[in-house]
Amino acid sequence: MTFPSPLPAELAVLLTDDDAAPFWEMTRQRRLCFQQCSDCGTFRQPPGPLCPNCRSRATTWTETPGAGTVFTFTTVVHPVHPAVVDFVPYLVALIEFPDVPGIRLVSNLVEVEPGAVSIGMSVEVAWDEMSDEVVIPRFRPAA
Amino acid sequence: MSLRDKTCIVGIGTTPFFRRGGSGTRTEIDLMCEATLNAVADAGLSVDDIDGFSFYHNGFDAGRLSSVLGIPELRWSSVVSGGGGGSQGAIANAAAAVAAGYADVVLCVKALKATGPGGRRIGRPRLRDQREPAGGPDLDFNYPFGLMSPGQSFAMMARRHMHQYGTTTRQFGEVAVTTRLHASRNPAALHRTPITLADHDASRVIADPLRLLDFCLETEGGTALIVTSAERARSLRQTPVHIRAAAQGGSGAWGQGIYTHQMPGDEYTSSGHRPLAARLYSAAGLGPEDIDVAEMYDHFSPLVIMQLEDYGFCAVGEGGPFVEDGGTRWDTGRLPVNTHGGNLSEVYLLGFTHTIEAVRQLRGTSTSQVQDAEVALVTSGPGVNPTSALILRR
Repeated sequence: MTFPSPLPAELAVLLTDDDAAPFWEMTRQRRLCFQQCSDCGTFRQPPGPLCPNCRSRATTWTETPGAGTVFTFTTVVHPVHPAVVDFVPYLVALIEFPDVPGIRLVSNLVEVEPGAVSIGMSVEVAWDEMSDEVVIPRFRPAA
Repeated sequence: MSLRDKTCIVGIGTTPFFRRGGSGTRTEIDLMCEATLNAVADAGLSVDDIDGFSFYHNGFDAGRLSSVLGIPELRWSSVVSGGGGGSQGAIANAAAAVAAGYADVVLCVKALKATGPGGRRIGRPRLRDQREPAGGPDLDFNYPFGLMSPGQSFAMMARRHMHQYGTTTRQFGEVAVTTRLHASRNPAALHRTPITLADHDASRVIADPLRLLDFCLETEGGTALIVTSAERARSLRQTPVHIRAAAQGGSGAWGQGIYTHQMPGDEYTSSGHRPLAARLYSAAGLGPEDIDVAEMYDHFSPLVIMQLEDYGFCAVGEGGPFVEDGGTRWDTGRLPVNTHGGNLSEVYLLGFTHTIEAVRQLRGTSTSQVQDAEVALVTSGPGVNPTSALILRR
């Protein structure tokens, strides 16, 4: 990690369940993977037990290099929880990936000023180690 | 089978409206009872006549309410999921229950305290050890990224709408200004001092591009409506307001909407009401040109613009210019919207205040009366699934 974490570790405590656990197990290894139907190839997010397209239960986790684009974003200025008082303003964005069609990931933009962000800008994954257990995928402008 | 015009809203009632904390230690059931007594009196009925309850969201217990009110026999009770999206759906269910003969007189009731159990403010996120089970692991994809409130999510939708259609923050401001203008004429509204576009632009940023004046109020109070058959309504005290048609739901892919942000294609920049609008107009045998006044759930100003598009009052993408041209003003607009002052300025109680205002319009008793109003559209909270909507007629 070369950037200060944009949010406190207090927020990055995960509940997970059987469906979502692989996502977070792989982020711990700095791998960004999404759930994909083994039968029809449809991606889904958040993870779930069934493909909404063909209803197959057969699932694979497909890795992406994490090169994406900003679909939309907001600069959060008002802290809605005491835990983030010292962290505002921060950037929340929806990221789309050309190799993972049909889904978006909620994440943050780091190493960029709010005024320099635009919809459609290219970003790359930036791993944020919040604890021994939790590594969060955030995004910086593509090199 | 059609429910068209088979049932009516015959009574409306509220408590006084309170700012956050203003109702003190009063309980939600106390607020519900006060609103209920007012609605029953308005209708010219007795509490003894009530034999059904229709709810949405949370904060109630049918068994306790029936005993506290002294209901002789509860014959039917139901609840709609979907937060504020369920409000008009609760009235739709009441209409269906009356039409089906499950109940004769249904109480639709909702109270809201802006500070919940343990002093938690509405909308404040709960971290891991406090999360509701229903919040579940899906919030793992929001909270670690600091996405923790509806306003932040609607800010992202608003920005995308601006990007796709050229909508401006000035147009969001126009929604706030117009709504406040209507509130200034309503003695019950909590915020009655008119504002200008400059005031909107000077209000502090909460989640860019949304500012404080784009957000609804944090308020408290109780609301109640009485639904019965059109036949019985004819012998009651008030001008009957017919439930012309109702629709609930949303597209399946909308999913958890503002929480998961996977809404497909152009739906991302919509209120989620588009599929309902088609069904609602079809069930009513009416179209947008027939609507005289619209009371649209306005928890966030951009969502009024999106609903204008979704309900066909203008083309998709043209909601911004529609409001900027004064299209939603009560006296001169093409479609007066939120003539009571809405959630932005009157009070935010999760939905029934919009229905109550539509009833007033069709009785001819609004403080911003639309002349000869005969048909009204009422919508529920956008962003969730199911949401819901009604068309009412005099």
